[in-house]
Amino acid sequence: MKNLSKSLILISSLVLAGCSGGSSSGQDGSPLVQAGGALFGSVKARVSGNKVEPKRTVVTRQLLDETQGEVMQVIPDHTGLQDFMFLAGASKDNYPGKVEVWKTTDKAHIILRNGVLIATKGLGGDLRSADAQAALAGFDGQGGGGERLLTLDRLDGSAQAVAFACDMTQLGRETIQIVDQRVSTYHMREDCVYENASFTNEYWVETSGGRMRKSRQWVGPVFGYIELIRLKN
Amino acid sequence: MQQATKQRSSAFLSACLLATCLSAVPRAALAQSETDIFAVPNRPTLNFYGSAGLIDMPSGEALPDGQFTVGVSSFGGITRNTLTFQATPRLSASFRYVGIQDWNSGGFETYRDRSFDVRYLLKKEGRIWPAITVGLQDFAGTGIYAGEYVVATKNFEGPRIPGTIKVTGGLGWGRLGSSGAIGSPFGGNRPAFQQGSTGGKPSYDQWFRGQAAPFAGVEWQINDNWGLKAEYSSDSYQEEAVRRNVLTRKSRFNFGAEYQYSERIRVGAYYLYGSEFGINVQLQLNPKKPAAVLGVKPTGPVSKRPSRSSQPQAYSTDWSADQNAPLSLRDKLKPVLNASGLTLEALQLSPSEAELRYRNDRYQATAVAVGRAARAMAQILPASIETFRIVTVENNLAQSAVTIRRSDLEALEYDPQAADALLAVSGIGAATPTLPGAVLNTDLYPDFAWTLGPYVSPSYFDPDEPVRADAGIKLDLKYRPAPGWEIAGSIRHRLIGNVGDSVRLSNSRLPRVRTDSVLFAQGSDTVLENFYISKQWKPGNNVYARVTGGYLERMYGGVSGEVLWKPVGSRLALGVEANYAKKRDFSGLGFQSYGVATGHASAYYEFNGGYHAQVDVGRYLAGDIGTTVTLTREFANGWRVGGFFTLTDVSSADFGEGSFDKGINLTIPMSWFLGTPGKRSVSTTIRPIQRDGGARLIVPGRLYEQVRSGHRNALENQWSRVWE
Repeated sequence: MKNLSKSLILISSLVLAGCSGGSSSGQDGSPLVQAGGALFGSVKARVSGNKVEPKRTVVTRQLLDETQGEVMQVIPDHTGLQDFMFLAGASKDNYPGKVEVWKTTDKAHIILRNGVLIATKGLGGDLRSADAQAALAGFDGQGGGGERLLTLDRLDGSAQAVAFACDMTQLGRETIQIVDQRVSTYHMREDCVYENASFTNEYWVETSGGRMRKSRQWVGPVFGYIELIRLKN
Repeated sequence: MQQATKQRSSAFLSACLLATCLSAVPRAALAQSETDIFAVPNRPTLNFYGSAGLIDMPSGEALPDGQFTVGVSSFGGITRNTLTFQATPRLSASFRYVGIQDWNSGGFETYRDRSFDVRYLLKKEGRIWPAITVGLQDFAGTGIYAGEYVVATKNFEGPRIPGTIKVTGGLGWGRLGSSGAIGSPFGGNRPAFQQGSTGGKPSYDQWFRGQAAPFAGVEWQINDNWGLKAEYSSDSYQEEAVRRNVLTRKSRFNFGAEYQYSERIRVGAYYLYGSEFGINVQLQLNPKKPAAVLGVKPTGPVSKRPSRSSQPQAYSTDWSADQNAPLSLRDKLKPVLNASGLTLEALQLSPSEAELRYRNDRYQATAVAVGRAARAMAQILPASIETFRIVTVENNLAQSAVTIRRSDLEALEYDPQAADALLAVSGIGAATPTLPGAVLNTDLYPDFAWTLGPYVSPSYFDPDEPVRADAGIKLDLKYRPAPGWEIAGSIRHRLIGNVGDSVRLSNSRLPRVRTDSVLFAQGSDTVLENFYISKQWKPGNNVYARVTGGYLERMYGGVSGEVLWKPVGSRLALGVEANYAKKRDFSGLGFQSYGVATGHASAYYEFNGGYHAQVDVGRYLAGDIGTTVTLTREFANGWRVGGFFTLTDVSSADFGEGSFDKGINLTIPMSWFLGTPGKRSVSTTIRPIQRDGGARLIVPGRLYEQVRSGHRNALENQWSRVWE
């Protein structure tokens, strides 16, 4: 037992000392070093306990004016942390709607088709791909719905394509406040069901031009919901 | 005559094991589609034997598919440590190491033993039917825990009481039929527990024989954290309580309370047999649920070419007239690939096609590397190049060629089924051994790399000290002068440890090919673990070859040659390996007199659902001839859990304790813990006992695992990640 505690101290001191060199070697050192680091990280997280207090930046007109390009605010439900995303690319393909790739400050991607979430990358537990057609068709003010196919990361290296049955409900006109702007929108709710699983997205689409200004959308069972507000065009 | 009987019984045993395992595998694979992402599997709690169960009795439910559990229980001086793996949705296997204090007989103060269990879920729980499981406990040999059972469990939930109530009832034989027996339904006699027998062989002749006794119990899971258990045990603790004074048994009833500390850890406190307090710590984890969610930082969107009709000049092939074009494109592509952790090896260009050969040092999933390489090519290469051939190269072995049309890459990035749609139009085929006429990355050779870090080398199951370990620092050196050539060595220096303190030296009747490990540990503190030169290459599109010579491992040096046939799309691979090995000195660089020609012919097969089988036939280190069968469950994220056994012409008596060689392999990818991409993993092999029969040479750089990660099955299994 004494030997064991001695060797544990030894290992933990060596964990700090592991190193490597050369071009093709594993840059991150031995697995033991990595495991030690991970263990240390999790212990530290456990000991420090309390979550980071979500600090919100109050967005002002001045701030927006000083910022180059388009800006989208994102707040994931499970962290409550606010982030601002910048447009990393936009393109058209064979499906209706314009695809926009938004980049978070930690380099994850949120990908929207006319504002409807069709993929995320780098979040962990990503939405690999999704069909937006039924949702987009429901934005005509009449409501509607249909099947939406979402391919979800299973976290084990594979993914599952899930065909949700969705129903779009028109909740009427609603004026929302975005920074110093009052925006007139149609408010819509999309209820999607697959066996015992379900999610509910909400969309606020401008009455003039049909651009989505605000939404609350489901990424998947791991990541949950995110709220998106388009601050600046 | 006796020899003949033993041979027959081991042949029967191998047939029986093969039949049960193989018949279970494909059926399970067919029956089970992948687990539904929204499914919340019922997760049974563990008993004192580390199986799904009550307190000391089993229950009828199976653990969730793939579940890997560690159970540590202790009461009345009896400590049981159990690893359990739910290998298929219905079949699970356990390995247990137990220590019983105050045994005081047969020369043991504390009796230590290893045992194996298997369980099979006959019937899943339905609306009316309970879950029914049949189990063989300590099924190999006349072990102290030998017993069989059939048990049923039903869950009840109602508005009147909070939580869930599980009611369990079963019938036990052997140890589990030793108290309150109701007769012998299948008749027969059952030999008593024999201390000190070699054991290790399935004792099929005594399964479900002799007296049977009922047992029952209730588990009330009150809320997410707390649970209560009560049971009626059918175990008399004959050996412990009656014959020896290990514990006192006054009652058949056991009671306990359990607390779920975290998602993976559960602890319990119990009052057993009217006299003893006990504790049970249960760790349950699932390879499919990583400890840290893997997040790979994405690369930019696919760079799209302008449309041909609007800008026809962009599609000009004039660039190919410039002799320097390949060189300059190579130099532009290199940093883009590097940003994704990939290394360009060679690039071949024609006006409409390009083949990229690259090395992937970052992603456990080759599909991620292929997707990254494709997008790097789309970013850099001239618009006229429409066909991309992407060849992943693992240390000079071109694994496969993935052919992707650039216009598909551009069109499908945001398809509703982006990954499946790309797979449908991509080709996965054989890669040629080399790529003539390509521009090479001239920075790659010679290459030198080193790693300095700690090491721990454990040694298990010494009766005097169940866990021994040596620890120290280790320096790995690797020099690659040219493609496929490698000169590598590993030096380690022990700073602390007690493996060499063992007084149990080999008592083997065979040449001491593996049982001298204590003498090796005592040899010296600083050792040259290995030092070898190797060359590997592809003699043909589907054939891989390797030659290695030097100090191959701590105990042996020699030469080794291997040839492997593995077509890219084939589930079957065949290989041959021939070695001449000489035993090394216990210390220093010399050799002992023992030398042996050893080698195997191997067949590898990938079943559906991640089940793998490997059969090796050949000559082992002690000169014995036989077969090794390995069955492995591999998860898409790189977790591997497997079991193996080896039967050779060495008799059980000559083999010694355990009768034949067997064990468990476990590989856990580091990315599962860390949540960051990486190819490293930790592996371990646990043998109940290491003897000299059925022992294989350890050769660095065996081909199969190097080749397979880029072949069709592996690519397709993780193809959903191609757009990461």
